[in-house]
Amino acid sequence: MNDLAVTIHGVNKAYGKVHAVRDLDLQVPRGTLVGFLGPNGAGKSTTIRMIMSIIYPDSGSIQVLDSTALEAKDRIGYLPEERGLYRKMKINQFLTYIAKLKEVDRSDINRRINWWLERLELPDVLNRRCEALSKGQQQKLQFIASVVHDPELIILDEPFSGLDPVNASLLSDIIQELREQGRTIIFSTHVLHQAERLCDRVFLINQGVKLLDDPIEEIRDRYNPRVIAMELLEPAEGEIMRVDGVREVKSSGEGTKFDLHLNHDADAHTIMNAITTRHRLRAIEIRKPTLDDIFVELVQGASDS
Amino acid sequence: MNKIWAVAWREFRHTVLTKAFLFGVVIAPIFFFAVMIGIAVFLKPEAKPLIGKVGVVSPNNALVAALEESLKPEEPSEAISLDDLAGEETVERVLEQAAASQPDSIIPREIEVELVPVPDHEDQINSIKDGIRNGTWTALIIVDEQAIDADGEPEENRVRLYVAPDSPPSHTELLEDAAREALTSARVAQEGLDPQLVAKLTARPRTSTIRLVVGGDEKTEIGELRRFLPLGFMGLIWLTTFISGNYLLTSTIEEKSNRVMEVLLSAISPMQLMAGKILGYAMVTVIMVAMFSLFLIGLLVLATSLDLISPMQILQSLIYLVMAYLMVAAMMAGIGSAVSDMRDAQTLLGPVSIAVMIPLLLSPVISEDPNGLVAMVTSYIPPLTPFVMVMRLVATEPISMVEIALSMVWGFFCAFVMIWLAARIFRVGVLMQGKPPSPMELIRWARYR
Repeated sequence: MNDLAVTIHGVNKAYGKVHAVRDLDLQVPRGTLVGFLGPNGAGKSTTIRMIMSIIYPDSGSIQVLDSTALEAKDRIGYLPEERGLYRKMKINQFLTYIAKLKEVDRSDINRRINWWLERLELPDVLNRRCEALSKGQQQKLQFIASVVHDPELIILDEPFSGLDPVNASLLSDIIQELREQGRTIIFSTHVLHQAERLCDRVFLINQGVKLLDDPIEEIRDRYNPRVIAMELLEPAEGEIMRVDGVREVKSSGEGTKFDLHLNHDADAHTIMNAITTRHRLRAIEIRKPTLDDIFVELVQGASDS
Repeated sequence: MNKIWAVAWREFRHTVLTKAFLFGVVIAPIFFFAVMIGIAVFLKPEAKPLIGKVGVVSPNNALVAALEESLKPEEPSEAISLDDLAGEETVERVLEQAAASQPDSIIPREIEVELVPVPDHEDQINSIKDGIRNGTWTALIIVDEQAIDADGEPEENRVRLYVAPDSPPSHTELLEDAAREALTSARVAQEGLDPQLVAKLTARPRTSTIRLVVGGDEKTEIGELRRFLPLGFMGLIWLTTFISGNYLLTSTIEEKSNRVMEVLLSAISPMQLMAGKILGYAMVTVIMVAMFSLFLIGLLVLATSLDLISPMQILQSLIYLVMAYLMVAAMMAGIGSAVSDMRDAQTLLGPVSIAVMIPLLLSPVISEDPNGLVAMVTSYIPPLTPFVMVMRLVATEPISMVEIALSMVWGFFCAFVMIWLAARIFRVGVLMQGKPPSPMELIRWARYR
């Protein structure tokens, strides 16, 4: 068995004159939780649809779970960006229909549906029509439809959109549980702090071109802005600049809060030690780059170039 | 195959087990049929009684006696006891009764008319006209002197009928008919002939057509039934395939508009989805054909004319039904996948509707001459093939087995090409939203990898 759940190699897809995806190479290791990021129109949904064999690339190859995506469909769960339900269908009928399409053993369908409805805190809805549910409940129902067949690979396109913070947290917990069970999960999102909190790895694409494809810690290290943020108990001006390795100091908060921008070769820990011996501090930390910062920097950089 | 079956079963179940289907396809035809038969057999429309004085101005009062004869009330017709009649006779009586129940044939059952000869004086005529207006007189019939003269030039208004403002159509028609009949009798009498004898001699006789069936049998047939049988068979196939096709169209559009399409396509391929839909609505068609056939066969049994069609013709018709369904389903699946709402679908359905109306328009020509040039040519133009062939099959003149076989091979070839093209459009169209595609775009979709 291949260690990779998804391998995309040299994939191109165009719609008329619009080149949606260009020479895309991606590899998703099994058992990882991967964030698929990119601005609107970046080519995320097109790539996901190609992984799902809903559409096909003009060139290149896609391997999913050691076979073609078409053959592996029953082992993939998919929550599309544009949610869809049969409005007049009862919830039990809808989930049973989807489970049958995913070739779930008929004797096990009811048990699975009941388990998932309970897990997603949707009690007593089995005989209600889909249209009778609230938007958030419909979202949860669609999530169940994507995982009811216990897939190895789960692809979630904007899974948190339309959910209130409580339900977003519930869904986030469930995604973590699925990852702990060894499922491979790819999810696209615009809510970057969620991706940052959940993901092991991040793909970032813009205008159909891959900009980033690395584990999240590596990305943080690579895009480390080399800034020490500190807050003093008493105001201090001027002296801080005299610390070796500090290139620039930005102050705020009545002369007590500072951001120290370090030289490229400076060691952050040596500088922190030097500061703690000279000043009385309320707080000091090495500032981590946020995914938002990296996202904006990369996307704007790519657009400018 | 499990997935195709799951789709087919969902489509079938969510179409057939709905109140709309039960009402539209099962209850409505039964109700309609029952009402038609009920009206024809049991209900006689009631007209107001024709009562009062009718003035008659005629040369030498020659028309009064004849009018009296014509206005004798008819014996009330009895409700038909179907048990007492032979099948053929039953249908005929039912048709007669149905015809008699038309609004223009309503005859007052109660007629108590006093015919008053009136001299041809203007004052008297005006006084009767005033009497008609205020209700003391019912009508006035004025017959010109020349009207009775058989050699006279035919002119308009030789018989004038004056009636009250509120006189119902049934009264005016009755009085007009009676006046015409009386005038004819008066003319005949003037020539020294017996009007009753002339009426007997000139009555058009009823005819029986006996068709010599191949194999030696003879079969009395009902002309109208014979004429409408091809249209009936074609109509059955046309109606059922188009109702099913329409269900397929709306179901595809619904799945696109409520965005469930992408969920489905994550589980099955577009080809499986389309195949499932076509299979599901094929089952719906079977239900409808069974339902409507019961009426058609029931009518033929009632007319003891079931042998107007042979088991082989029924089998062949069923094969053409499958062909017709595949062609219509392909068109509807293609259109349904290409558009995002019903309004856009109507635009694309326009040319299709016109094309498939052609067999209906051509039905008189094809029934009359099933081996004529029009019938032969249209038999090989898809999607007309199955509809035209079914009409030709059950028409009077037999068509050669070679032609039947050829049309089947060609028809199914065309049907599968249409399905293939629809499938090519379907797999692209189902994911498209927005404005409907142009014909060029449809061709481009069909050519996508």
